[in-house]
Amino acid sequence: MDSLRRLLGIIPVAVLLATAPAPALAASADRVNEIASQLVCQCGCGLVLNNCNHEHCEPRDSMLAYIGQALDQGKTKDAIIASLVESYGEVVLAAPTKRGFNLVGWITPFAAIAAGGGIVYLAVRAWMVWDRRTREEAVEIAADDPYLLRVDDELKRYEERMG
Amino acid sequence: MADLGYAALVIALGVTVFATLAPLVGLRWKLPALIDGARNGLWAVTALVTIASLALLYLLATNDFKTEYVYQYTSSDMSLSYTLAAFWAGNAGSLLFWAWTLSVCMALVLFQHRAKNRELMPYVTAVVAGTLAFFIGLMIFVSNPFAQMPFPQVEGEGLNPLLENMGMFLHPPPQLLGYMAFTIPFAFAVAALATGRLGDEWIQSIRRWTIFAWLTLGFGVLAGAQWAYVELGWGGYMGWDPVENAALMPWLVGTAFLHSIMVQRRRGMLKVWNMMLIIFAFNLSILGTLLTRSGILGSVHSFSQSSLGPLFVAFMAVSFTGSMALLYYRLPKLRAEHELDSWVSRESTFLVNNLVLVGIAFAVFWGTMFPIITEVVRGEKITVGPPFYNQVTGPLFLILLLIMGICPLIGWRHASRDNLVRNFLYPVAFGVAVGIILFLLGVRKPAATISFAVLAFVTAGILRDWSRAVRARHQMRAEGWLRAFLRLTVSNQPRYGGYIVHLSVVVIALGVTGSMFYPSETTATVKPGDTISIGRYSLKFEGASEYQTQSKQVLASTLTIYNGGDYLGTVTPERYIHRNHDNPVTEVAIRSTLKEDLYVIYGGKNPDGTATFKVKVNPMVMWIWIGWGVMLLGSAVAFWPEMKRWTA
Repeated sequence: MDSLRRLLGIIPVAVLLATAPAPALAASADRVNEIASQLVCQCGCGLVLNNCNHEHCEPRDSMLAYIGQALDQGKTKDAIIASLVESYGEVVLAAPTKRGFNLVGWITPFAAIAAGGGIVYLAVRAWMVWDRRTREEAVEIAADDPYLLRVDDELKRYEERMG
Repeated sequence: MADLGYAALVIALGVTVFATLAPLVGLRWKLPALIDGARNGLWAVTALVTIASLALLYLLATNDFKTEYVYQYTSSDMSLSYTLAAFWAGNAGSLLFWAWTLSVCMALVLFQHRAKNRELMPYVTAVVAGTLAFFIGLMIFVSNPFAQMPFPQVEGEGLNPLLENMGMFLHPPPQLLGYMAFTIPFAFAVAALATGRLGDEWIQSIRRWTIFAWLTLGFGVLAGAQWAYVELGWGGYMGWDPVENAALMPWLVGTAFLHSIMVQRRRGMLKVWNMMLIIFAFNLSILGTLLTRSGILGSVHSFSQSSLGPLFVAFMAVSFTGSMALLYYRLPKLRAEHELDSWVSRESTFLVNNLVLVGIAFAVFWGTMFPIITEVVRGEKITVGPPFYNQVTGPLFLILLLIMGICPLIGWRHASRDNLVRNFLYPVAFGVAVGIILFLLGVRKPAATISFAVLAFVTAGILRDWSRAVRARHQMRAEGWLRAFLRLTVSNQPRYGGYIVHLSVVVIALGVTGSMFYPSETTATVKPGDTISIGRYSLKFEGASEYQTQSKQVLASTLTIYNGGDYLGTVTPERYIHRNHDNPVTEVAIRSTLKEDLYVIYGGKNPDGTATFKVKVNPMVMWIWIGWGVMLLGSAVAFWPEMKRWTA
């Protein structure tokens, strides 16, 4: 059923692609570029649509022409992208949509970092020495590093001299 | 010669298998002769793999088209330099390069440790020999660089024209070196776990090797970015291609390791975490080699498909599970020697730094693998491209930059209120001032303004700390400013080398921010005499020409550039059509200044005599390449043998 719906969806876009004039778009190049930057060229180069640099790239040229023509017809960016997804599938999008299973793709990195942060927090709390005595003894630099002690000493003497 | 190379590899495989098992048997049954034999065996492997490598270079140099690898990647019209560079152009050659460089590095390790670390070295030998056995085995059984053609050939197919660029010398070798070099720290980590000698000795043994791996991989990544920028012709330097991501992951984890190892050395903390980081860095390096060479994920870098994938996965499964099992076994001996005294301490900023670095590495890994996961779960292919990575990793990189600025300003163990005020006041004030000034000057994209402000804060923090120490030395020791600066720097090379690397990151981030947030572009089809306008620039199309060379047809165009009416010069963007490759190669014309790049792509001549051009203005890109050089300098300072005596 999905395949049939997709096939039916391809027809209007295919007609548009076939009849679209190659360059000479009336739509603003910036608008076309903005939409193209969210799509992937389907020639197999794997690049974002407006970055494909193949000399005679039929998929790129027809997709760009379609975007220009659809903009001229007053279609919105979302509608243009939706019709291209209908034709090519989600693989045409340069990034996954933010719904359904794809949401897992967007959320997981941040969830992992949040989980990692939680683990770090718990680990640090377990490490922490709340003992007042220890905190009083704590110093700003490691006492066993002769280099830092020397630099600190020089800085202290320098700052005393400077007042 | 091919037979000699192949025979050398077959013998090397036998010796590496021996050198993997002999130390373990020798330790178990107390047979020192076996341990010595394994060590000597690795010297022999170095010689054998060197012979195989020289044999392949000879076959390449003499255009021996009977050899399949030479036939596939060279042709008689190629220059000698590119002919020799074909060594790492394909699977088999890259594997040989990996094995060769690892065997040479292992020889260096054997020499460095000839009279020390006697407990660790048998395990180091076994791990490195096992890794070498895997790579040499792949060459013998799957991807043989010395395989012969079934029929004699008089001419080769030639190198992919995209590879005929200076980047072919600057990008693959260091990147492969970086991947390979993580084997040495990994081997020492496994040796430390196996022996239970988990003190400082293994950490000290690997410091330089880790910096070397990190530096070469980082150099390779930036060289690849520069290559993509000048050769691929789409106007960018980072496409978040799976292979680019594969190099970034071990580099990020290696960066985390280089920071957290300082906490272990100074405070005896994060021992388990450091072990995990080096295990991950090594396995991600293997994954990087796999993604580059298997073709399992579509990439501009996968120049061939191969059946190496399952074997790499099996190797990673063994190395990862084996090392993690050892780590689990040693957990009781890896307890921290000290506690964290305060949240407001350098140790805690290192923890956050590590969390973000590993988080970015995970985000990149996740994005790279998500298309496969989606296909398995939903049965539908999707693309995870630049918009995903920019949105997910962009904020994380910004946080990382902020931590990079905060970290050096906070003292170890516990930073007092005075410490915070004294160290943060001026850098924060400078960062805020820069943000406000840029906002008033029209830099109003919030992410860009914040990024520039953060970069100003980081720079001010580093320079303030450095200048205070120089000033103190100048005053207290009566040294001249330059002398005080140089002597201070060499008195603590890891610290100041690190500062230079941090400054290089600032410079690179400056270029990335500028080029990411403020690019402009236009596409135009023009006839000779017409002008293309973009920003202040006007480009007058003078005409197009075509000519033939021995290996390719060149389609050239000439444009005269004006900036607000001032003549700047001419550029000649071109396209090549190689005789053995259908797709033309873009040779963009770039006019670089510190402020911006004018980037001109020739789209080709149309039948009606017009020509199509894409012109981009990419702000501040040159800063990325400057930062690349500064990073090299900083790493060299940190890497160089310490010269403390000179400062006495």
